[in-house]
Amino acid sequence: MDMNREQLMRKIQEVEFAVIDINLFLDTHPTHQQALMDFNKLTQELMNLKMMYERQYGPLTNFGYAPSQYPWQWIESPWPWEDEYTCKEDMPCGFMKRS
Amino acid sequence: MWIYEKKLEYPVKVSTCNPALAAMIIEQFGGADGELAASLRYLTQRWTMPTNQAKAILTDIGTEELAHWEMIGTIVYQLTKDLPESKIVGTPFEQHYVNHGLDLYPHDASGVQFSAKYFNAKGDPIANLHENMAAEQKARATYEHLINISDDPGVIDALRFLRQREVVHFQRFGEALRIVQEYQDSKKIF
Amino acid sequence: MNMPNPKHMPKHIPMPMYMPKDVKLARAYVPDQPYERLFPLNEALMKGTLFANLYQPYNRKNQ
Repeated sequence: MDMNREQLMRKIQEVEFAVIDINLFLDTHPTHQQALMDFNKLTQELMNLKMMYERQYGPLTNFGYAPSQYPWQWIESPWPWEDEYTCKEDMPCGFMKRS
Repeated sequence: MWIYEKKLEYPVKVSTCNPALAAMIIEQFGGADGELAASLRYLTQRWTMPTNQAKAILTDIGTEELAHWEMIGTIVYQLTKDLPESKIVGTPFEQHYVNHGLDLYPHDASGVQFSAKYFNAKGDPIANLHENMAAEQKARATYEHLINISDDPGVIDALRFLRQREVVHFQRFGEALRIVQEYQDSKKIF
Repeated sequence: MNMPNPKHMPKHIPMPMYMPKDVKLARAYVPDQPYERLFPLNEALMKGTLFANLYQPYNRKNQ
């Protein structure tokens, strides 16, 4: 996975996480104006980042949230649990230290 | 309806094989105070919870817990990926392996299978919200135990994130409790 | 009701105004969270929350 993709994914994770935390705050504070303004601003930024990512690397969400090129991109690797994301280096198997 | 986003909420970077650790981390994959129990608890309660705020917070936290379940599954998967049997024998993961191979499966660190017995919906929103607050504290405590026994920095990093989320969820359920209490109080005024 | 002296309270605990005016017995109350002191986005992700007032880091036990 090249650096561009990893950086873009990291940025998406950062912005989306902030959106999630404000989302939860708004659920219990629906009339908080500042929170709502921040949510909308970050949501706009997130949508732009995702569009950028999906244009190059294919859809992040299925079921009609994003289009796909041919052949059907949704099935493509890497899936979120695979090596490209989890960066498993070649290390010898270690056993948990017991004190 | 649920939509799936093809990314983890928080990056998981595992740099070692460690089946013994995997056998402990799986506690949060299928255990009583784990992410699957949390998710199903909240998503189950939301149907009959009064006030829109409470319905929303149960839906959203319940959904976020599935994202956490995915992170835990990823940690277990990476700790055991491609492990030869010789590295599994003699570790606590051997019990998992004889039944499930290297597949993931929801059980706890003792091997007890996941069950709906781990959560309740009492037909009382105050009781339900207190169960939820207790669940968040128990999850937080479990993560602290797991952080104490882990030695993989990438795993510890992810566990710290998940632990902090429990603190935030507790706050939200506490706020939902206030909202529902006030709603019930207001209904009593004729 | 005796209100705690704000000067003696740790900074991260919200002021009593975030509790309801009439607290009842046999009830649990969690103070309302003020919306303030948001972390920068990269820091928020690493810490596990956007809100400094909810950030409660854990000190791992020394082996």
